[in-house]
Amino acid sequence: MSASSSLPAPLTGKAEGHEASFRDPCGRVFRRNGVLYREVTARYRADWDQLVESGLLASLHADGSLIAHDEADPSLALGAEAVRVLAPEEVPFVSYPYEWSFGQLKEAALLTLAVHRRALKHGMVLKDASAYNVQFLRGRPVFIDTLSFERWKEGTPWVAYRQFCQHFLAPLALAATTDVRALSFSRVHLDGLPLDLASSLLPWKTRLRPGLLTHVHLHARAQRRHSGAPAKTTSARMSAFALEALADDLERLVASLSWEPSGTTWADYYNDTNYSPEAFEAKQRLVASFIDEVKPKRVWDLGANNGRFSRLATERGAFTVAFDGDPAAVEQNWREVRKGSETLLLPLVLDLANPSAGGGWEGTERDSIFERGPADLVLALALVHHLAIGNNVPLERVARFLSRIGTTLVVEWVPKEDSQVQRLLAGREDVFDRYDSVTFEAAFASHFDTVRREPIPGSGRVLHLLRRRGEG
Amino acid sequence: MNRPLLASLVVFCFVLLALERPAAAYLDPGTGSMVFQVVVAALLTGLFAIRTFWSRVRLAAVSLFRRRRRDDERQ
Repeated sequence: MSASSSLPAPLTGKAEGHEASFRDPCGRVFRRNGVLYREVTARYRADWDQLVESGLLASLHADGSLIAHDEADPSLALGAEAVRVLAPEEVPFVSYPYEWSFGQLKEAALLTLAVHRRALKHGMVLKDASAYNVQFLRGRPVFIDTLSFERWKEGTPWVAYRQFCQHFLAPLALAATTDVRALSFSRVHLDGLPLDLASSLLPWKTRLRPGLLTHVHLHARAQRRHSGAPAKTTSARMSAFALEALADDLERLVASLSWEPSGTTWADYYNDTNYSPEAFEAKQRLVASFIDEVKPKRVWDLGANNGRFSRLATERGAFTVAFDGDPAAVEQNWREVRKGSETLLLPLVLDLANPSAGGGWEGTERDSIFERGPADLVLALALVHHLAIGNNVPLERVARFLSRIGTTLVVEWVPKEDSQVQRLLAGREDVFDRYDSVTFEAAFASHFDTVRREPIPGSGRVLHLLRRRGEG
Repeated sequence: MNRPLLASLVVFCFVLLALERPAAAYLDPGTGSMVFQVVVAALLTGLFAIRTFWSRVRLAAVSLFRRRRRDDERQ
């Protein structure tokens, strides 16, 4: 945050602009020598001065609402029009709104409004209310776009009102009143859910809620009425007090939207497995010893459920992303993170059968899951049978997928006799002649070397610690 | 929201339409969204003013009460 950090040698190494940073001419994010920078252009100079001199920047940094940065040597800049270069703190894992649970999106929405209201108090306004400007750091949402603030021009409305409603309000309202799976719609609608779509999907009763009637239904109608008209604003003035009133109303509305995770497939999973308490303890001890052996910095736990095994990694100091396909499990895990003020765990929604692909302009604006790895260690516990039998993926393809996302792997072999596998096979034809331990080990041997192989006492299952070919 | 209120809102929107000028923003703020929020915020301002007023009164009352109690405890 200070302006007097030690500076890297200027103008060395190739610089590469960030694929998602091209819309705002006030600055650009890029990498040089692997270090992340954000340059500020001359166009933003007056806004920057106000950001600093009004005390807004210091205030947002003081409580961690805005990502911290150091000032770097301006000669490191990517473009000629840059006037200063910032070196922001990097988040350990970039996540996207379509991977967040309800609670995570709601917290991101409330942070965005709080940041906007703070800006109003300092004579500025949040010009960009994109959900992609929020990331999760040390178990909390943090606003990452330092250049999203502009001086408020007396009398002008909030330019990011539409964006806020599309990125946050519409998906939250749909999730809270219709179905939580609506959160995944933002994977298709990268600029937020169109309000006319949200309005037509929301149940009729939402028209009886003044907030949703106003900010979604009537807002959508107003947009339709003006569609095709050139982008204009009105000369009817909007006072700072009115801006504050609007933000306050949105804040109350978002705070009133809630969703309770229930009926999750996995809620009782740990109480309903093949494991005796002794076997379960033995599995935990083995996984812990594997983590101790690998000493990973970044762990991905696939099918993490409520994050019990993820926490074996975070307790050992590793930053861990706990992926699960079930939004209820992820929500419960996120609530645990918040309750315990945990700083190293990030629960995210991910369907392994259809993991986040690249998206946006040229398909490179948002990174696929593969581009955000590899992890030092991937945990694939009680998972392979879901992929191989639940989803008909051949073991060879399971092994290849896992080799693409991690350099070491803990994978649990679950034999066909296991009651969990039998449950998956119930009511369908067993076409899985090649689902056996020999095929399993051969499939993984073509991508990994075995470091350890440990049967879990009291169960037919086997834990494998594997290292990707060519690693360490 | 009742019918007369809705009707006046629509009329207000039309009035505002006549007062348009180009917007200056790097993202398209959407004409409908800009016009609409001016109307909504105007309606919300009264409510917000009352809320702000009451929260200040409550805050003042609480702090007065606390001060009194502290004084009482001291005596």
